[in-house]
Amino acid sequence: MEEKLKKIMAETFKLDENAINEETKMSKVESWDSLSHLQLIAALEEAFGMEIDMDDMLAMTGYKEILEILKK
Amino acid sequence: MKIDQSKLPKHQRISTTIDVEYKNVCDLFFQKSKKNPHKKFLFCPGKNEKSYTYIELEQKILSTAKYLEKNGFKKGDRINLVVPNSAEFVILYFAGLLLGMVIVPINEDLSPVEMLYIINDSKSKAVFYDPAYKHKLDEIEVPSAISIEKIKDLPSQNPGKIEETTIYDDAIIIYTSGTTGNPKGVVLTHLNLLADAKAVSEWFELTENSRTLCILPMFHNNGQVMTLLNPLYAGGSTVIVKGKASLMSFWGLIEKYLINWTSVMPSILSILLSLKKERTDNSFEGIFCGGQILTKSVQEEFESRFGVPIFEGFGLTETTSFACFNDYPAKHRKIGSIGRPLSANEMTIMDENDKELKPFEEGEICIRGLNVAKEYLGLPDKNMVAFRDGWFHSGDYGYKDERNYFYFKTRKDFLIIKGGENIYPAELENVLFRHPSVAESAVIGIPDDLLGEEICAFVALNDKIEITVEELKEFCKGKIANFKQAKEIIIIEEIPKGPTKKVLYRKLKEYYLNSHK
Repeated sequence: MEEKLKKIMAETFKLDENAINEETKMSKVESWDSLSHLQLIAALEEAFGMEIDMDDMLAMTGYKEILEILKK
Repeated sequence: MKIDQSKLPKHQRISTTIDVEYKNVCDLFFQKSKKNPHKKFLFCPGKNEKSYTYIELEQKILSTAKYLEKNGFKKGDRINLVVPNSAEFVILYFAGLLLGMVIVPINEDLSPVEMLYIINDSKSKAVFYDPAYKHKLDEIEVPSAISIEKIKDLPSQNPGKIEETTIYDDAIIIYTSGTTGNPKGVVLTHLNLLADAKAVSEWFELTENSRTLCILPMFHNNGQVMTLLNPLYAGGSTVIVKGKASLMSFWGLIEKYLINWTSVMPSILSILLSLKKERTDNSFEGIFCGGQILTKSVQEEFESRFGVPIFEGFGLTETTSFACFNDYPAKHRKIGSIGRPLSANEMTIMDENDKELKPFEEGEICIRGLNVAKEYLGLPDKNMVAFRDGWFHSGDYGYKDERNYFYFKTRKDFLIIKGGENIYPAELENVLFRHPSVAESAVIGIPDDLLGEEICAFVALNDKIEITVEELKEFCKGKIANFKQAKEIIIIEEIPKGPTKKVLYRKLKEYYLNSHK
């Protein structure tokens, strides 16, 4: 799951996959804007075959937070 | 509060009489709180959802004002807020205004260097920041940086004797793009904020039951006025969300919080149309929309798919938020028009000799009234030009019809409006010019389906120095905010110029559009 998430985030935000870790947050990634956030949610829903609820979407503000939500 | 028009600069005076009922913006909040103390006013959605009644928020505001007072802040002091949409933004905003301080919000997406310019230009005493953005402030020297963690969980306390703040005092300074590349600080008074909020609130007949959704950033006045002060003026309530995360949840938020109104840029409507999410609520009454051109096709498609009327208006930072709106209720709208002037201001169309034009003659849109900014901070030359002869000259072109409905046509200069953010070409040109291989550059806006406009930079290189487009893009990273970076960079032999050596931006735009047909 971790690898899949890193791959999606790397593709969405044009980041180096190896540089993604628990410190990767919306506030620190320049390219993480409202449009790329939409792309991220859509890619996660498709890749993990799930529908992400509203509160979870708002809480997905970093790699660590997303991973916690996906693991639920 | 009776307005003494003799105390106002000429460009704020109007021929009709309108009064605001409050002494200042904070008085507005406290009066509403007194009337309905236990009514919910503020909701902050999310996993750790927070909500505040009027009285709960009032107590937070008073405690924070005491904290500010204890730490030496007083009337007239300016503070920067590097704080995204949150309860803390709202609390600091009202606490500062209560003490007569001037709030200067900063877009948290700016680069550290861009932030430093605003901090220095506004001569702010301190920067209040969300810890998520500490890394940016660590890169620059700021007078005093205070984490918003310090104002969380303060003991219940009241400030001492507060110096009176009047409607004529400065309230906020909003930085907006400048033609030279440096942003200009637009100084807005308590009267500006109160008059605009009152005018919009009355235009749309908001009531104590009205609830707005704030998804636009509160560092801009659209977020502050349209979805905070506007519902507050009616004694209503608001739901505040961090913009970056909110669009996918848009319809869910509308349904869960029984939202009646929100304010957006046309690009947000396009994004909502592109998503496979449908409306599920029964509460939504309408959308305030401005900041870019709203195309007829987007408006029609949105209204037909979601069944929500869009009310197009026009305004700038210099008019606090909106200066005109299409008619309410929806059946009275004139589609394609930006509407009629609000009660707080008057509008006209002028030619290049500042002569007022007749209906259907095209010229510059000019505004005067209680919601027109006091001035640009520390820029007397710009003030003399922009606020000349008792009118604010907007730089936007259009016309009006015989019934005083206004129509927007184009910008006078080469301002790029990307997703509602104003960007002047010089901002990126100044960065590109710092690269040794760049001889000259010219930046233009290019059409974009979602954002309205994207950024394209034309670059002419010095002889013998070779560089790739990717290297140039890499060079710009960190020197200017991400949203101001060029989507495309095109290397050409020479930047086209006119006889006076002025860059022919229009020619570059034509070239781009012809080559991308």
